[in-house]
Amino acid sequence: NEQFVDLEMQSGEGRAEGSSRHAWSYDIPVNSLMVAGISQCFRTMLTSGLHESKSKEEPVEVTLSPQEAHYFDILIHFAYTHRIPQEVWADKEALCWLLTVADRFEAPACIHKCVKAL
Amino acid sequence: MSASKPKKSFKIEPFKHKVEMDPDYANNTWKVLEDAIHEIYNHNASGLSFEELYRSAYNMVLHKYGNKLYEGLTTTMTNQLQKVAGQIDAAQGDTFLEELNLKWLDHNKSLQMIRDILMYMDRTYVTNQNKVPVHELGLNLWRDAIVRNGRIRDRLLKTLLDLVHKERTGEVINRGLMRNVTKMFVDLGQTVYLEDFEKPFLDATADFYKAEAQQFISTSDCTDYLRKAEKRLNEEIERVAHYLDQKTESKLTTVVEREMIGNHMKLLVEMENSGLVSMLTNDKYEDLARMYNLFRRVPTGLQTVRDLMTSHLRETGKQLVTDPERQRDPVEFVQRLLDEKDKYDRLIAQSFGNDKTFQNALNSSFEFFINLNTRSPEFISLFVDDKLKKGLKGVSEEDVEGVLDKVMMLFRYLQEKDVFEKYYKQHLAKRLLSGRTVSDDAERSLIVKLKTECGYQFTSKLEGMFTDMKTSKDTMAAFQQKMVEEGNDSDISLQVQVLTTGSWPTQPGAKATLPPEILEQCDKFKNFYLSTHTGRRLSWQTNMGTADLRATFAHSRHELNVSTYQMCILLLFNNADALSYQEIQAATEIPVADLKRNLQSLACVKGRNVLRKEPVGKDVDEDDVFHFNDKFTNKLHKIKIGTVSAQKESEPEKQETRQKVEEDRKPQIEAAIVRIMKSRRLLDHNNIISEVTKQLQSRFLPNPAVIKKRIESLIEREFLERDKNDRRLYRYLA
Repeated sequence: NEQFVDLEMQSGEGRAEGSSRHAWSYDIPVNSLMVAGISQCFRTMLTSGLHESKSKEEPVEVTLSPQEAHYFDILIHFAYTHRIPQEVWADKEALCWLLTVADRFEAPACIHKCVKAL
Repeated sequence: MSASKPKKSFKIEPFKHKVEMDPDYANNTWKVLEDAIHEIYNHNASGLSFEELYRSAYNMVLHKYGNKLYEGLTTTMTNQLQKVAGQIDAAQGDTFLEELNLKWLDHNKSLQMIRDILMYMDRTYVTNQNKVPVHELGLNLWRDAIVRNGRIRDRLLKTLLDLVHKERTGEVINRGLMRNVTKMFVDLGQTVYLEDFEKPFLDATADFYKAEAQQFISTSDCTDYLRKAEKRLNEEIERVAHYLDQKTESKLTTVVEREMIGNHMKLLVEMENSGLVSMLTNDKYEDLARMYNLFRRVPTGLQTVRDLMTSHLRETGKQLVTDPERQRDPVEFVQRLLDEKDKYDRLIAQSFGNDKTFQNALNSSFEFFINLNTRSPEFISLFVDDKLKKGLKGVSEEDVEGVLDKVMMLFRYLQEKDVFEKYYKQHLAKRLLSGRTVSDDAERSLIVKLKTECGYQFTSKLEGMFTDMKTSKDTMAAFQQKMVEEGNDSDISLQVQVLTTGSWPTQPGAKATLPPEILEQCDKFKNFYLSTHTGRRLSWQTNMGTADLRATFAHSRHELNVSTYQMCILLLFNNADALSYQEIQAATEIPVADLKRNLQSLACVKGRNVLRKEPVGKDVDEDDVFHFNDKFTNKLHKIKIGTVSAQKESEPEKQETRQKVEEDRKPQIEAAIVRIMKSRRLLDHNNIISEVTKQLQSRFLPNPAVIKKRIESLIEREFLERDKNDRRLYRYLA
């Protein structure tokens, strides 16, 4: 698990930010509503009554492999823009990666776009 | 998705490598998840990390351990629920339901969380393998472990039914709890609700109400019973709203209706002193409305009510029309009919929501019993006569219309409309000639109504009568002017109404010798009339006229309003003090029946006895002698001497009218036959009969035998012929 990157999100009322690190950890400031909007997984995570939904102060941790982390970034980006970046669009392999990540976090809109592109 | 699949597995390759290095990975991960599930059931969920659990489940599914995860989940949950079942079963008495409810809520919450964690599995593994989704799985497990648990099942059902029973008998129960529990059944699926709860519940309901209905019906009367039934029904509907599934409402009410009403319908309706009949006679609108609303709910309920109402109506109606007492007074008779009709109209409007079927039943009943009495047409006409003669004085126009409309309604029920026409014509003639019509407008409006009802033909003669009256007025004005011009004024003023023969119901041959002074005037008029209208023949209808006489008695002078016959008789006494019956008859040549009647009214009515009869008695005999009653006194100056006339027709007259009607019908039937055959050319016997009946329905109901006779007569006269091959076919000969 040494290669895993920790990505942390702090969920709150408006802005979300914050970070801690292992190997290369980086933080993505997100709006909880935005991610919940794009991903079924996050929506449930933030409402299920488990740890994540209870502690509003602490950042949300998502464990990913390095490649996944990159594409998770793109997914978050997608959440805001609803657009897949040009370089990913052109690259079939990159699209597949994105698709995997989107699948994991259940982001139907993104999945749909990827499938169409492939 | 299929396109992406191989790529996905390709991407996953590096992971697999790692997993293989760690053979216990799956077991370890499952351990984490299993612990988490236990924690969730123990209300310690807030300490768990959703992300971690989700990731674990995700990885397990991704690495083909989906099956293990699913199986594991099933076992774990089953074990958990077994424990729960034990706890619920251990709860005593009233806490049983509460415990059950509590656990159910817990289970729901836990299940929700578990489903969230295993969302990924739900979405991929379960759909691919066609397994039952996690949430449903949880419910099924609950159903099997708790609700259908051998010990809990019966106890649960019994508790619920007990509670309902308690509430029905008036105790207060915890409705919220009931609602939650029944909702649980619903959540577990329709079949569970139906089989495990609703069916036994409905059975219990049926039993309960069967017993109650038995008890009620033996202790209370129809009104009370219906009131109770209505209350119960509302209670049950309320019950459904409070804690049962909506779909149960119809079933539940059906059960209650069947037990409370359906099974006792006949008994209720026919209950003595309080059943339908008594409600009808006592105008119990509210109770009737209740009955209507309740009975409407059961399939044949309304039919039962309607049938009984119809038979009751026919029974009373029949009594009404056949009761000889009533027939004495036709006006009263018709008024009673109208009252009855009004009453039922109101009843249907108020209690039965203007139900069409009831209205039809009402109409057919009236039609039935009005036509039972063959004199109904005559009576209705007499009723109109009475109304138009005096009944409408000082009544507003709208009321007049109202009365006339009602009469028309009765008229519609009549089958023998032409008989009515006949009588109506007679009565109208009398009214017009004696100038006793109160309002021409009312007369006309009734005729217009008749016209819309039966067509132009029906009323053309009636209208002709009105026209005659009008032209007569003009003629008289001209005549009088001429008399004045010619200077031969006389103290006798003559009013003549010229009537067209066809339009008026004249009785031929009623001749009488008019006094000479009158005769002279008549001749003058005759000459005058014929000089303007050549080619016509005038004949005097002395039996219809009236006269005003000035008479001098010993103490006073009076103006007497009498009929023409009476005038003839009285004028005889100008020259004589006493005359015998024979002498009077010889002098006037008035027909026997009329003479007797007129003498009777002159001599035998108290306060009007301008003649004295010897010997004194009520009836006039052939050998009676009459004197001029010199001592006659009366407070009034103007005296009207009516004729003692049977307002109703006497028996022979009635026969005569009937016969006339029958005669009139013949050409009508023939005309109908010819009309039909003209358009059809070829028709068999039965069809002719039915067509003729249909055509003439608006006027009367022809008798098939009569129609047959008419057909034969037409064949004789070569309008029709029988078909040569088929004797039953008729052919029209142009």
